[in-house]
Amino acid sequence: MSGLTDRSWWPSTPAARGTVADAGLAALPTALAVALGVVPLGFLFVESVSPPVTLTNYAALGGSVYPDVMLRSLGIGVVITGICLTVAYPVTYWLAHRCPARYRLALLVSFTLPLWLNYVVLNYTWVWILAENGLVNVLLTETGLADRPLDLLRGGASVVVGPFALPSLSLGLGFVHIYLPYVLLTMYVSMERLDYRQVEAARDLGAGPVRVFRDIIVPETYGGAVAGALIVYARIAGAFATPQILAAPSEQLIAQVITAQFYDVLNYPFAAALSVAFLAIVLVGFGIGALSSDVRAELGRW
Amino acid sequence: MTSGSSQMTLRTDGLVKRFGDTTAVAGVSLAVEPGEFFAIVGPSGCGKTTTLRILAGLESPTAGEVELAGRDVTDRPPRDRETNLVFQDLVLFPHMTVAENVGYGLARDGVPEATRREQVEEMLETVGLSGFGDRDPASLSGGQRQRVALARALANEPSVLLLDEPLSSLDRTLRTEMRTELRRIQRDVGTTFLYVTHDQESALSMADRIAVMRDGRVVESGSPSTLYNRPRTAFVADFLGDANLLTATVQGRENGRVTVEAGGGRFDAAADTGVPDGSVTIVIRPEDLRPGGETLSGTVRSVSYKGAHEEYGVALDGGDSVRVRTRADGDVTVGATVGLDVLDASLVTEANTEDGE
Amino acid sequence: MGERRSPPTAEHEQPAGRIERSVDRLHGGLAAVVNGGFFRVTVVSTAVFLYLPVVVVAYLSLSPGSQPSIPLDGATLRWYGEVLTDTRFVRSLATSTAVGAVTAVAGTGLGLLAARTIVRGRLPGWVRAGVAMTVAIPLFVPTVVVAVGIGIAAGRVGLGFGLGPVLAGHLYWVLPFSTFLIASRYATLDDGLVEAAHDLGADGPTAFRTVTLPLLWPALVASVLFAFALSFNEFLITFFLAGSGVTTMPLEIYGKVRIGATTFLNAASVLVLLISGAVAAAAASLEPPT
Ligand SMILES: Nc1ncnc2c1ncn2[C@@H]1O[C@H](COP(=O)(O)OP(=O)(O)OP(=O)(O)O)[C@@H](O)[C@H]1O
Ligand SMILES: [Mg+2]
Repeated sequence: MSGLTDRSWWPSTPAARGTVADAGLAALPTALAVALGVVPLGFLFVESVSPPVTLTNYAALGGSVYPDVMLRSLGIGVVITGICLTVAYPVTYWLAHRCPARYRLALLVSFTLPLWLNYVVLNYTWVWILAENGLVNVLLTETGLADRPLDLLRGGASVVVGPFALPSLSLGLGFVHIYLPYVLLTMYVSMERLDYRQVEAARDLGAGPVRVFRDIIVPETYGGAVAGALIVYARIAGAFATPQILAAPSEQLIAQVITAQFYDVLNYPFAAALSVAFLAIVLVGFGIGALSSDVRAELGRW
Repeated sequence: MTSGSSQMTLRTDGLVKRFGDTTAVAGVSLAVEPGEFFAIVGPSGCGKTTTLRILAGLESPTAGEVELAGRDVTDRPPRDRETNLVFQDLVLFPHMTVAENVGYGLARDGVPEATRREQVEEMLETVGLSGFGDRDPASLSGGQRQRVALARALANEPSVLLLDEPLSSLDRTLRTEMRTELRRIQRDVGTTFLYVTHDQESALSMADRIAVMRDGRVVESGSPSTLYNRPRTAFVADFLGDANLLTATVQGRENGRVTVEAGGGRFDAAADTGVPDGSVTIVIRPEDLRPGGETLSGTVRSVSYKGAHEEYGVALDGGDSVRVRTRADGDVTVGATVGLDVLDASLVTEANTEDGE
Repeated sequence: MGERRSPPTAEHEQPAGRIERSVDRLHGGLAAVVNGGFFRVTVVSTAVFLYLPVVVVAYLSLSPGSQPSIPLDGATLRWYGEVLTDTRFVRSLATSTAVGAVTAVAGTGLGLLAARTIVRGRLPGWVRAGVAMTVAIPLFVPTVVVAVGIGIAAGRVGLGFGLGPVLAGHLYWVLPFSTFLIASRYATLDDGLVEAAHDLGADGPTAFRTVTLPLLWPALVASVLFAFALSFNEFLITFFLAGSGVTTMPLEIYGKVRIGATTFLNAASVLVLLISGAVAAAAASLEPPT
């Protein structure tokens, strides 16, 4: 009888060889993600405390318009995200549970199609709705509802409600237009998983629409809602092209300031400090949102 | 290497597999002969699947060796082993037709297209699926999918076919039918079958030899009738069928048999193993207790009608309870006193049966 | 029930009778809300909201003059001709298409590797989680921060700006999308399928080619299309990495938007939307979204 061979110490088992092979396969995408993700963040941080080592860049964040810009960006992020959710709830509920099955796919496709379209172009299309000679003003003046064109495009900003600055009309519409489809898609996924019989059961027990919404729909789809919010929030707060095209001159957002520091002023350290500060604030928000395991599960789907 | 090992199609020696802290297999040694239908049975979680996966090369053992046709294949990848596995959940390739599934192994062996098609057709015929070649696996019934899995694993003529509970997903009727089929196919192709199941009925009805596993070890192995009629352990006795286990004292012994006193009576029992002194355990199958005798006596506590036969629960005067199985004649009632003859009994070691199921 | 809506295009074509119709619609809308048509009204308004601007721009791209006015005084495809013969625009479109094609294919390849690592890699759990987290960075870090970071790093390392950095940036940007698209399909594949292939005599590459790849195919095609769309439409990272030599289509359009709205731009916009819409339609016909 041949003796028992204890193989547990031997490095070149098939399993170990598999590990080496798989590490090799993982190397390429990981290298890209590190080189363009982790390394630049490192550079950003180093840059933000230079020359040599200083905190003056961060100290400068407190001055001038920067706190306002930061607050405005975050506030507009909250407002737009809220609007997207408010629209997405009834639309995805209807789509997932009330829509006749044969229209469902077509409608879902048309609601998510803008995800595939160029947002610079989509933003631009609003110019023709809101401009002085745009659709709305033409309609208003033609019908006599207004005697001269209203200042809808990049105008009339800075209505402040509590801590939040409301975006101007054109900026708000432009943002909702490009980010609503993301929220619709995320919400639809979790709405579809909601068991409609729960709604029927609640109705059967005498719950009205508001009760059903509060007791069944919100708890069941809350994960999807927060996930959708997390996905769009940082993008709205950090948007550059949309405010460049649709914002009033008085409502600069953080990305515009960062870009100006980088491109026009060529003050890299300050651009970096602004970026790091903004990133820190956004990540804290993510941290709070992602504390819930429901939300993590929803985000896992992305 | 041991002499004679080359006659064995498959040998394992002291296989051990640990997953972190769990020891799934704790030293399994098996020897399967060419053309044999060998079954491994054991309760759920005893390490059957792990053993099979080690044999197939899908898992590498922590310790121990696997030898196929006299060659050590322990570190060979699955594709270099002449074993094929029929997975418990079949895992047919969903993107291939039935014929492509069956021909997959042949294609990997480089068999040219034309020959392959012929062989696949032949194989499908063997498993009773001629004409199903172009079907999509998803469109087949459970039993048909089962046959496709079998055909796929048999097509490139492995020297050992490993089957992991292949019938567990089928309903009872189909399972019985497939058992007969499997046996027929095994005789037709002459391949060695190593069949793993937790269903002792399948094992007893199909296998030439059985190994009973428990907690990662082989407890006993032998022919179905030996294991059933002459189990050497209480665990095997209990696992392979209904068993009455009685504590007994040895009164006398002569070559291979002992006289014991148990349950208030005295009778003979077979004893293949060494007989300890003092208290022992004996097994009596319910059908080996015949009412109307006088070796043991007791009171009927329950009667259950099972179609062709009846079962009584009897409280023996000596204190133990036993089950009695007999042809249904309906003249036994609860509360009646019965006398029982012991037709057959065997002495077993280790009385512990608590993790029997 | 009164929630029938006239298509949005009708509105600017016939100014007369508009009031009547809007009053009608107001009535209809209210009735629908009262009758429980609240959902349908919301859904229809959302659809109108999403597509009305596009329809208006498409309509205004037909203007004979370079500055359209509502309603149009005629219709012509002349500006589409102008766009397609405009060297700057055509060059930017070609650049974007080429960058998009390379990014789509290479990004899907990298995504496949990353997905395999995350879902099936024979590596310690923390390594796989780490790869997933690293790949996911651009999903959670605001794009402007990513873009400035890469911009500063590119400048400091001496990589410079131009086509190479733009390609790298796009690959990086699409990587999480292709990875998670492929990974979600990869995760549904039964481990046993590959084991069965090995058991029947396939080596690693063969099992991958004959079993894994065909089963992942729909996800790979979806990834190629989505990565193309992402790259084709990407603006901010390109803005920071392109330098002066490279102009992609979104940069070109952005530059023109900043100058002013014209019929030329409307026609260019419609062309761009048609291209990405066609890619989306191809994707939707292959597999339903989600
Ligand atoms: N990959 C693994 N990682 C960790 N533990 C495992 C793994 N595979 C099996 N085990 C453990 O090893 C033991 C034996 O498992 P195995 O699948 O071999 O049992 P089995 O006899 O086939 O059971 P069943 O009849 O239920 O299929 C179990 O306790 C199981 O939990
Ligand atoms: Mg098992």
